[in-house]
Amino acid sequence: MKALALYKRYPTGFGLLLLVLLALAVTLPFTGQAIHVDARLFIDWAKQGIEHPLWQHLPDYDYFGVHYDQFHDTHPRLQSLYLGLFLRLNGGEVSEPLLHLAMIPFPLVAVTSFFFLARRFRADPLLAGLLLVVAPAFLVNTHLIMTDVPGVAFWLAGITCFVYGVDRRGRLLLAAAALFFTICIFIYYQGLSVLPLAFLYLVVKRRVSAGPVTALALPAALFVAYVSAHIAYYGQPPTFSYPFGLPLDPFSVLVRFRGTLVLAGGALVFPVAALYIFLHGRAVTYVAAACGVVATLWMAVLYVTGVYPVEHMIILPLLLAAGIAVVWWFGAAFAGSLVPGLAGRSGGDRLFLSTWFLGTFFYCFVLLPYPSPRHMIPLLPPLAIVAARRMEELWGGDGRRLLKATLLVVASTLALALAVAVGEHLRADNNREVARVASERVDQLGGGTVWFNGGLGFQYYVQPLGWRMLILDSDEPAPGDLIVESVGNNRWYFDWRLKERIELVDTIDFPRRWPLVTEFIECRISWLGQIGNMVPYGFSGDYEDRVYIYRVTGEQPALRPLGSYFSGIDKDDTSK
Amino acid sequence: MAFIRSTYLQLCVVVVAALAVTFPFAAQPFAHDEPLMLDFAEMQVETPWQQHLSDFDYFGIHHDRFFQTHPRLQSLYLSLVLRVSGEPSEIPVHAASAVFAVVGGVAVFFLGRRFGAGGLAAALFFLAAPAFFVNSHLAMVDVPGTSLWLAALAAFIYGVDRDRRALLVLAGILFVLAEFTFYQGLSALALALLYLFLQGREKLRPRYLLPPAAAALAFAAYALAFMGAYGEPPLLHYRYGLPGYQRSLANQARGVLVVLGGTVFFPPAAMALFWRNWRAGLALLFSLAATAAWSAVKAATGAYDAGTAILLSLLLPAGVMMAYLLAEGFVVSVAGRLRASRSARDTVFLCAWFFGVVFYCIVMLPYPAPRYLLPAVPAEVIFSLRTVRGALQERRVSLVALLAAVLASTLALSVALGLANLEWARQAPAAADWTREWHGDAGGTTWFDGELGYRYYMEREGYRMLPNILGESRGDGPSNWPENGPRPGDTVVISPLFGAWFTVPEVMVHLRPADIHISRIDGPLTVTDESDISGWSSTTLLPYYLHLDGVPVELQVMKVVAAEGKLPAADVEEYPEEVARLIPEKFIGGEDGR
Repeated sequence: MKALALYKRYPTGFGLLLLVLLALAVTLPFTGQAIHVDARLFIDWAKQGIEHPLWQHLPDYDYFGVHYDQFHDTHPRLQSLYLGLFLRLNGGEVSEPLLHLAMIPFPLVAVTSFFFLARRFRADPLLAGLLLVVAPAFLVNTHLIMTDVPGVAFWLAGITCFVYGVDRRGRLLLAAAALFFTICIFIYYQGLSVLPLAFLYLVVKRRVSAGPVTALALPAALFVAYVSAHIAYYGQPPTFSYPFGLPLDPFSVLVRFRGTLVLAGGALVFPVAALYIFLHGRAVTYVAAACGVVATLWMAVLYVTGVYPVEHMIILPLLLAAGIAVVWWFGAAFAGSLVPGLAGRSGGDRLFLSTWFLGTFFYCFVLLPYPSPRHMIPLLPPLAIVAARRMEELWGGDGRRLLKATLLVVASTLALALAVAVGEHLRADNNREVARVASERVDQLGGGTVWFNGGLGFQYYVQPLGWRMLILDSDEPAPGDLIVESVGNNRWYFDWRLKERIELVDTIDFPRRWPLVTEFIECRISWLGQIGNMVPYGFSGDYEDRVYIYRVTGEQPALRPLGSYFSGIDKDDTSK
Repeated sequence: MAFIRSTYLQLCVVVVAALAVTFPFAAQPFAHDEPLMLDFAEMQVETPWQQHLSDFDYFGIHHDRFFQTHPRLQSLYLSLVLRVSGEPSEIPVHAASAVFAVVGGVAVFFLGRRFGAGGLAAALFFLAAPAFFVNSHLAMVDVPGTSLWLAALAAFIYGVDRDRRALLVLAGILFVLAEFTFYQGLSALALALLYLFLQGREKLRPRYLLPPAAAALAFAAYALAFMGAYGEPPLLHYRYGLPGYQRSLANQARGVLVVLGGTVFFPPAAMALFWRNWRAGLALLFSLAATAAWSAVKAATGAYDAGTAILLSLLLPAGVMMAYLLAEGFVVSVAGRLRASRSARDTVFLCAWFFGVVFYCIVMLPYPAPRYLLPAVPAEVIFSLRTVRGALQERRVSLVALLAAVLASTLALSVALGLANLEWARQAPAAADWTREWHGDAGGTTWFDGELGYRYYMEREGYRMLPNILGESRGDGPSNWPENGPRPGDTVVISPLFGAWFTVPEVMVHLRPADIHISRIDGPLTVTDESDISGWSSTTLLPYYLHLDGVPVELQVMKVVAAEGKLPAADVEEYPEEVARLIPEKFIGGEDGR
């Protein structure tokens, strides 16, 4: 209660202090985390950025089993240039704690900006800020050396300055907004979506004039300049999507829609809390319940047939229903804000927040390659604002009730987020262990060249051992060579000719050390995100990682007539 | 003041201005496609109605029957001039062509007055526009065609507005003259119909529809007669690509915007003129950002020199701003009360006129060039002037100062470009003179490799055109090959500036370098890039270039020897693909050509 009194007395100072301290408390303990997920890629870019800060490609680069003469990433280079400064500080050497410390300012920028944004949209800024900081999608990603949290941080900084700049006709704020928007766009391309969003704010506020439009036009013009320069140099636009992969076919979009819905229910707020806060009205209750029942039956069938574990029967329906409740809420708010017109301030605000949420949700399942909590972080601000306002509606009459409800919602969400964070932290650290154990075993086995099959953190730690990446559709390994494959790090399939001449010599399991499983593809559990995943977390999984070691036995087969290759291919042979 | 505002006095000023921009350049050597027009004119002295040249070599390729992508009215007019002058000569031909500049200026005077831009101002800006100024020194179809196009439109609009039968008859005649001067003239008919449509149902009457309908029927009759005579329709477009042919619509659109940005007004002045609201400022910002970044990278990687990077960064944004302002005017007018407001209808008409020409230049013409965009210039001038007059109507001094500054800077640019074009044109007779002086008595036959004005002056010296390898690929073997092809002891003079081509491999392997002559086209403004045909004639990148030191002009002299060598494989790999694939293996040697 003392804290509540302090907050009432110093709403800005105390609220901000509390949020910053909480943000530090949930990030600093993880600064020793190993290199994980795509951090390896950003470190490679950062290393190159020291030498060639303007290059937009990595020359002669191997990425997930494919060799690229010129590798272009699906992100611009600003964040890796920033990391490069820290590498330079450390004499060019990679230090995991230093790089993680370098990432700490971003959640602080995000939280501070969001505090003021929430206040502008008449939500309790502390409550909304707490919901942002403890959200699993946000908290877990603050431990990664990637672009998602930095991007959102500047997205929030930009939109906050812009909203205040428009409301107060403040030129300095608009200039700051232009700067932050620019930084955001040059950290990740998703940042471009903040520009139409900000323009929408102008339209609903009827303030379309030269100043605010210039604040939006400058970053857009700089981005156009960047694209133009890229085409001038490389003869092609920047890579906005993966060069391989996922077509916009309806089935793929549907699967991603389901995955995004599940993550909206399970990666933003504790699912039960999300249901309680957002499940409002008969129609959505029926829809959520119906989807929940169908999902339960579906999982039950797959459990009986031995495909999925039993907990999916609970987790998937719960997350799906929570996701439906959340998305439905924003859909209804969007539709409702259109009907009565935009005359009132709340109507315009509702339209702005719901468009923000739905727009981001839309591009998450239509434009992005797979559903992933990190892609969904831009959904969080409107959700946290609306959730805070909704909680005040539900429990705001009595200060104690609101406090208790806040503690319950925040604590349950924080517990879930920390549980996922610890799971991911252990998975990350396991990569070091995998490299150490596998290299010892490889030394014992002896032989020629060692090849590895697996990316992400595994690749980061085995590459310095001198191991070579196994290239897709390559039959290069010679007899006596060893191939080390990591099941938990997005391995890829073997070339079918190579598969005929390898034998498994060892299997090493790295046992689970944490009850909450965040990655076990056999059960379709993945926090990182996979097309066709079922749930972001679960409780089943036999190991944290499994490593297979193969020895190449036979000689490369002699060339056969071309026709025999086509007739001899088993189509299933390409999928492992 | 009343005297100054008198129509007759203002028309006198327009006529004097038109003559002033053309006559000083009357002695300019023949350049661009003028020699081709003269070939037709010479033919039409004897056979006025013939539509083809017999046994004609063009760019080193023989044509049994050569058709051009224009009708023959303008060359028929030139044939009358030749009848008077006796033989092709620069001053009579150019002086006779000045009449079209006068017609164009007067037509724009009346159009400018009708559309609220001020007749005198519109005419002066039109005459001073680089696109018109430079092209008015050339006896080609573009200025005559555009002038008749404008005159027809002016007569038609006044005829409809005032319900004058004589003007409508005149319009019908001028429509026919325009479309028989160049096929683009047909677009004036569509514009006339649009004008009627915009004026409402009461104007959609047979008497008003008759002039464009009669002109359309006349063209249909011509096309049928042509088919009857030749068994094929008139040649409405090139049968094949030219050097520098734009390979994508995006490139073509960029080129058109660059030409518009650089050849209607002085580009920085255009930006000042078009910056009428913050939205136009945004159009400038975005186009400037994209172009400047592009140019900076190209300059940093050595693909562009600094002058090219700067010019592109000026011309393209100016063109984008221009197009934006018209597009905005179109949208606002269409969205407004089109029927109730004459001003809105006029804006729609001007925008449709402008974008119609821009559209066909992008989609239907082989490459962007200032001469192709000439019909869009009056629409742009009139639209800009009425917009500025509307915006600054309360500040007359500012308006006059702004317009005077824009006109003066545009005229200065035009004069500079006119002189640059003159300098370029002079290279052709200079090359012929140099060849005669240094290799005239070398023995054997002298062959030339190049087109346009260079061909004209080399042919006058009695030199012969070198066969083009592409002629064989189309089955059009050059007339002088192989029976009368180059022999040992002959001399070949190659001019890259005038579009030299690769000759047949049977000749190539006998060529040995003998001499090279390097002169310079003085800078800083040139209408051509480094020893390249692209520029004012065909705008692959810019219509003009900024080369402080000028442009080097090479004449490569080769001797035909008896000994046969082979073409180095590495060189052949560098040839254009359509050329390399025509060279049989037996002519290609190793790395050093052996």
